Amino acid sequence: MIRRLRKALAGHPSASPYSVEHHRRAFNNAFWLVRIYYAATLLFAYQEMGTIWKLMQTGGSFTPLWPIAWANDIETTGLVILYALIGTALLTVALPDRRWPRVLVFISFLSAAAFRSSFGLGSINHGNHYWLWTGFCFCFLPPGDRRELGGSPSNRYRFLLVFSFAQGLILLFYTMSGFWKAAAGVEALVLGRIGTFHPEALATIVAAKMIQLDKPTLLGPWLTQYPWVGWPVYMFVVYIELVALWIWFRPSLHRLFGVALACFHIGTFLLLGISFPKHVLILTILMIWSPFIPDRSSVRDMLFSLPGFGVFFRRPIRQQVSLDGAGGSVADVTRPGGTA
Amino acid sequence: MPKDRPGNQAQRPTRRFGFAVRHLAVIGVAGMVFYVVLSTSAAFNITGPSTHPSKELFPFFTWSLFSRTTDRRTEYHLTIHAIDERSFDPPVDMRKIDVIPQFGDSRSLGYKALQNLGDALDDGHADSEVMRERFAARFFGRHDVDYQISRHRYNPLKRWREGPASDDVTAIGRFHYEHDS
Repeated sequence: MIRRLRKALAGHPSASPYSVEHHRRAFNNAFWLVRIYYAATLLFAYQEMGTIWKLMQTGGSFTPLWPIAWANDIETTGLVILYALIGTALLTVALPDRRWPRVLVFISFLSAAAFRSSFGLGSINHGNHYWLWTGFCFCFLPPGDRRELGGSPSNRYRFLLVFSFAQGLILLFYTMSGFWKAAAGVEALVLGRIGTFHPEALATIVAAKMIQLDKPTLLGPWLTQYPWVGWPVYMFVVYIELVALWIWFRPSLHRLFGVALACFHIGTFLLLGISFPKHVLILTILMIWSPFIPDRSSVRDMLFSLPGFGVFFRRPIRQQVSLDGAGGSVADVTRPGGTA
Repeated sequence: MPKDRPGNQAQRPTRRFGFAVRHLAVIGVAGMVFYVVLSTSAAFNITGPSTHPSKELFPFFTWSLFSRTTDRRTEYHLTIHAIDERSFDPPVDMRKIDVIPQFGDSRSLGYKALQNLGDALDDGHADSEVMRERFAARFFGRHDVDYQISRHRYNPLKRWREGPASDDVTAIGRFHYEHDS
């Protein structure tokens, strides 16, 4: 039943049989992408030291969140987290084949994120959540160097499976975000109020944010002059967010949706003045450079795979897939015995 | 059949690492379901006293960001009447005060904290006084501050284009904070 559900979510039947070469290449790509993730973690840990130090100097009311429930005072807690974070991040890049440094750096990052939000008085900073949860998933990666892991199909499979779940979790976050926007939009339609689907919705959100910031954003004032321009943009955002989890099962769209979601985050800076640098990097690592993208993937393949709209391209694509054998799904790569 | 399949592993003995494949798949799917259930439960306050005031159970979050759009927005403003020996007439918005370094950092968090405080004061929440003391300790630091919190209602697009003159303003209360020396 699960296999049938997965195939239904994957869209068209895969035309590419299991390929050892593809499996090895996907593993190699995923292996180096994980290394890039931990190199960037060291960079962020270094940057985070400045933030923690600033919070220690600023002081104020401190209500520790549960990961740092052991905290008594700001200065000791800040120092412990600061040293633990940079120390474990260094350990992870120094011993990249071991699992325990990954677990330790995850705990340190969780503590640092909790420390940052323990001053918020009712506000939690979500800027680190994507990075944090990806790190949590990577704790389940099998330990071992590239030769050890790459030499065994089942170890390669484990590695790719964990990598795939990291993708799935991040895409789930986008789908949840899209769901709440769509649900609030439907509620507003029923109640006859302005909501997500109103032509001026995005302009209204942007205006409210600029009022909150008390300054204009780069493109915000322009959008408030021409609010209707925001309607197709916002509908596109709701669509790509809502179907993001679906894309998990459609590797031919990983790159396209990775770029689309990165553009969405660039747009949030241009319109709302909110920057998500870690989100863009995690999208690059997990989606734009996804190891599951088929070797050959045409524009028509991608159009056919588009959730909801792919049906309009069904017939010609089926013919093309049967002719050139392009396509594939995450399962084909992650499951050594996987075939259509 | 390719030689590299799991069934043929006797040809090349290799170490098995970590979790079994089935276990990994179950952990992954169960984890994702757990995330959705827990974050949604927190958003609806089902998780009880462990829920954070922002209706989250850190680090689980519903990712409901900018979901609600409204043409009648409610926002709480904090205006400063005096800091230490210095008086402001007319009073100045908290965000415009750069002489207090605490106002400069985590501006967005400060804004959210003020909105939560305003909501609590407006609703007469039992913890509102404690929240106000914590807020003042966090943002006023080592200063003595005379301040007012007020509720503004407006249409965001109209307000951005025409300014705050048409705001529907209601004073929530005027307060004084003295730091512990």
